[in-house]
Amino acid sequence: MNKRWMIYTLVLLLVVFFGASQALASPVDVTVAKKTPGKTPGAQATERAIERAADQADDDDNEENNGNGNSKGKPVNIKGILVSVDAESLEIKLSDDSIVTVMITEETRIQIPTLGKDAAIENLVPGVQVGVQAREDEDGLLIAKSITVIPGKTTKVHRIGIVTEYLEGDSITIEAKDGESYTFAITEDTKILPASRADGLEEGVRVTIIAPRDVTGGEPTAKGIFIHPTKTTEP
Amino acid sequence: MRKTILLGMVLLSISVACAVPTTQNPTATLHPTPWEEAAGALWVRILSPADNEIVTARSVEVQGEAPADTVLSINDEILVVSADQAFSLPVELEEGVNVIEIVASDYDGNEVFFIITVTCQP
Repeated sequence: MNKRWMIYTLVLLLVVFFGASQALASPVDVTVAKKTPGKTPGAQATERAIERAADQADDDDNEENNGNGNSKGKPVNIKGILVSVDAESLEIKLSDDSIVTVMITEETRIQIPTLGKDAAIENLVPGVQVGVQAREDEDGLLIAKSITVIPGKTTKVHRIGIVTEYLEGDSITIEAKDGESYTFAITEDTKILPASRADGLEEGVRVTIIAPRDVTGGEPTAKGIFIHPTKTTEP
Repeated sequence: MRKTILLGMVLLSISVACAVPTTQNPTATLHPTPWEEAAGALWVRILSPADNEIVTARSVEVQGEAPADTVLSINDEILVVSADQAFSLPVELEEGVNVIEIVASDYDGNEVFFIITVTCQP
């Protein structure tokens, strides 16, 4: 009798423990599936948009119109790798490897950090990472409001070195840590910092020059020159 | 009796193994804030904004920490970190996806960078 009671108790405890552990584990697994680290908010938003678009196709009567039959749609943010682009649309690969198609209109703004606001659709190259703000039209299509290229590396670099030549208002040449010499044009827009040390900008001082990373033709223009304090006199 | 205990231990082990996934972090993001990068003696910690953040305001405050005298370029602005090792700079946003580029360097030529995307959705 005592032996049988112990078996029943042990089995009961195991069933309770097993059930509890499954109940605790299951909800988190669902959350993990929904919030995979690789999925960006844009990817999640796009998935929701696609789901909504499918719902709209099934039931157009549920569409919220603004009175004249045109639906503004909620904004959808998409981030991914540009797979293909033409004059009418672009395809974006999301982090879960799914492909989303977004339509381009004449109002779509194209922003590329290296080109500023002069960028055009022709400047979009497959393979780059893009962020797209879009909205759904009444047919459930995603219409791009803006397309922004997200660079893999910064468009500016810092060059740290010793000034070997300085022509005020014209150019500055430094010898960098890598042993290479770099020359930068100086314009009226070049900032020299700090202002208190600007008079000390001369050969032999250590500076950091902020300049564009990629320049085609001619020498890069210094956006800013920071004059470092002399370590022996200033900490 | 021994068989029962053995069976119980096996079932217990299975139960524990099934419960292990609960320790995973379901809210991990690509670049959690603070986002820290380092190179040599240089370190930079970005406190805000978070990468992929969506805001309704037309500007965002870039805030972070770095050693004093670190030279920073945040988009087109240049600043030097003060003695309290904190920096802050407002950045104007346009509607849509905005790219904030942060490059930091020190006296010895160490350099780190951050590319943060912030979506302005007024």
